Amino acid sequence: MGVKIFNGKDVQDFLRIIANLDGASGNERAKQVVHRIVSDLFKTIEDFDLTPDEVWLGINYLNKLGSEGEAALLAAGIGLEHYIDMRLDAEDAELGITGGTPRTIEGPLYVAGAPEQKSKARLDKNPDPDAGPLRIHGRVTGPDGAPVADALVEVWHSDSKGFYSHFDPTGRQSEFNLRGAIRTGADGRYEVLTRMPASYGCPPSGATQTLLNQLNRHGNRPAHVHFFVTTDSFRKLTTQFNIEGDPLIWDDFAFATREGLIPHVVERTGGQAVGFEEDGYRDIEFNIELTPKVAGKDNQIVERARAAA
Amino acid sequence: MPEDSSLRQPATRAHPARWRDVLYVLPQREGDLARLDELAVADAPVVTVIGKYNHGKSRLLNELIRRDAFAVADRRQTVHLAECRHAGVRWLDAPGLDADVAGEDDRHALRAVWLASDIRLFVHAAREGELDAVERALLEALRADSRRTRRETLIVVTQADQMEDDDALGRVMSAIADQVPGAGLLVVSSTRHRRGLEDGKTLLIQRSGIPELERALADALARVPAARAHEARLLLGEMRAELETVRRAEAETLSSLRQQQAAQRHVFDDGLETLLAAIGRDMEVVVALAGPDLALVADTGRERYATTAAKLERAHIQVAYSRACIHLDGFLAGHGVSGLPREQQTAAGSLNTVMVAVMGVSVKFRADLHRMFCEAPGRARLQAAFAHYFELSRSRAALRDRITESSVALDAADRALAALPPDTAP
Ligand SMILES: Nc1nc2c(ncn2[C@@H]2O[C@H](COP(=O)(O)OP(=O)(O)O)[C@@H](O)[C@H]2O)c(=O)[nH]1
Ligand SMILES: [Fe+2]
Ligand SMILES: [Mg+2]
Repeated sequence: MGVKIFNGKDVQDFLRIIANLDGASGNERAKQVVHRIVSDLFKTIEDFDLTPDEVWLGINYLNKLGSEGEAALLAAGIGLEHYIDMRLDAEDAELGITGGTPRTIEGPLYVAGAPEQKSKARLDKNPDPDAGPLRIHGRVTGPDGAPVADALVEVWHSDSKGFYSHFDPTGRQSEFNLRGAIRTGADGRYEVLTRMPASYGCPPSGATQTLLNQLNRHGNRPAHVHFFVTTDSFRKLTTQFNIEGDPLIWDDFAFATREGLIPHVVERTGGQAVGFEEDGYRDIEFNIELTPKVAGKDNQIVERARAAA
Repeated sequence: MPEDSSLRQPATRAHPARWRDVLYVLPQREGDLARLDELAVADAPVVTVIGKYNHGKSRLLNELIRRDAFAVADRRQTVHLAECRHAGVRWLDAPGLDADVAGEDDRHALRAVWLASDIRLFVHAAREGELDAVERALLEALRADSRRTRRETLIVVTQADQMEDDDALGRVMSAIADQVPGAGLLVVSSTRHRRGLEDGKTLLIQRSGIPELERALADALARVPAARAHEARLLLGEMRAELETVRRAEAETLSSLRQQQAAQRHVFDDGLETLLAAIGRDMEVVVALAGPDLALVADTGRERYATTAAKLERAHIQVAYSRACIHLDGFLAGHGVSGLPREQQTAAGSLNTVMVAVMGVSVKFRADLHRMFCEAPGRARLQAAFAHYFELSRSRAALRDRITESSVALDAADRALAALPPDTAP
């Protein structure tokens, strides 16, 4: 085949009709976006001379992706989520906003409603012999370096199998295991006692990894800890830090790793003194610097469907 | 006196506690079990009348016991069971069996008559001529019961005095005899008998037919002990045989279900073992490596969008691992084990698979893959974990339920057999 019809008047008129571009009502923005996406799709089909079988393979793949609930995972895997971050960074640069702890992707596994605790929290509720004790602590400050009181530091991470509570198909984790919400005091400090998360990836036989197999890519992420930091006066920070030394740190399938988000991991003893049962533990200091609102508004708030318990 | 409420008998039911286990398996045998209860407590032989209203049943009984113990009337009178003892016999009067007027009380009473009686006097008034359909059906049931249980039924044609002459009576008698071939018929007149007694007229008594009936009755009464022993043996024997049949069938079902259960598991285990061994061989090639494992060396921040040897290595490993998992998932799906049991499902659909639950989503490096697929203990762990979910699958759970049901039924048959007394002691 290899026919070229895309630029012809017929196809171009067809595309305008598909998106109802010249029709009176409807959502103008939606019409334009759909027109562009469908145009690009048609052009892709023409440029690569995709066969009908290949097109249907793609359509059926979307069904599989949706039925497995992996669309958000694929969004991370094809860099969509990180691309949004890159644009937010560029926007900040344009506005002259510098400094602050880097933001990075939220991921799909946040659960609202973890019980709030003052300054310090113990997150592990279930035994996990494959995960050693980990202490995370730091100070929340503003751009001027002054401590921020009453900041809500929300933390969530996986267990040694890569599972998050509320999303654990083995049924071994209780509610809000390895999740916490810590309110800072006047000194802006927070402290968390928990267990070391594992590096984890896409379900190995799921839709996302199946596509990645075609690209000869893995769907894995370095071990990491998620954060939301929320205050009245600053922009909400959505970020993660990675566990230093993880070989996947600069090979994250979701592209969430950033300089400034790889704090040192320090081996320490005296665990009982800080509240662990064990003597040896690992210690991570992760300080958080918040950034100011833009014209009194948080221009980075993201609305998306989130789980709550 | 017949209306005296002390004479009123409740309809007998099989003793619920004694026969619970037997009734559970053989509910249709309730009547036989109730009869066994009767036989266990019965002392005097029991004689009942049975037949339609107004055919002279009550009056016949009064003649036989030589006193007016039972109510006699032209209209429907006896609505419940009445009894009287005389000459070492329990005499039972029963309501008539006209189906169109029979109420709940009557059915109760009839059932009691059926259960309690050793000898039935089937009463039919001569003036009515031939037996009607209801009578013939009942008589057939009674005679069939007699053949089986040896409880005897005497057919008594009453009110002979109401016939015009002997010819008329003779015609009725031969018509009835044709209807019940092989049965002996007795003809009586209660009126003549009473008059004969009152007036001391021996001939009239003779002509009443009652003495002949009494002789037939006396012969039948003499056979009651043997008949009772036969009946108890018969009922117990039949029920034992029936329970044994039920038990055998249930035992067969259970053993075939268990065989099916074992065979299914065997097929699953064998197939999985073969597949894991094949994956292990392939994986051996993937993880075979001289020198340090590049995948374990972190890249630098400058290489974030660059292709490095380490990244290629990680991709290589993960894609091989994913292919192995897709292969395994296909096998599991073929055995109905792909989806996670409902109790374990999470809000994230992509995690609700047995593959994910067993493998976790933690990152696997060479050493992990070698441990999981290339070493026997690793494969055994996977084998056991998948077998665990195999047993949780819907079809396996359904099979387990059927096995439980079947073994409950087998236990019930065993308990019922144990609850049945030996043949000789009802
Ligand atoms: N003529 C005559 N009447 C009888 C005879 N036996 C009963 N009867 C009458 O028939 C009616 C019904 O009798 P009964 O014994 O109450 O009948 P049941 O309903 O079958 O118990 C009554 O009026 C009796 O007096 C009999 O041998 N000869
Ligand atoms: Fe995560
Ligand atoms: Mg009567």
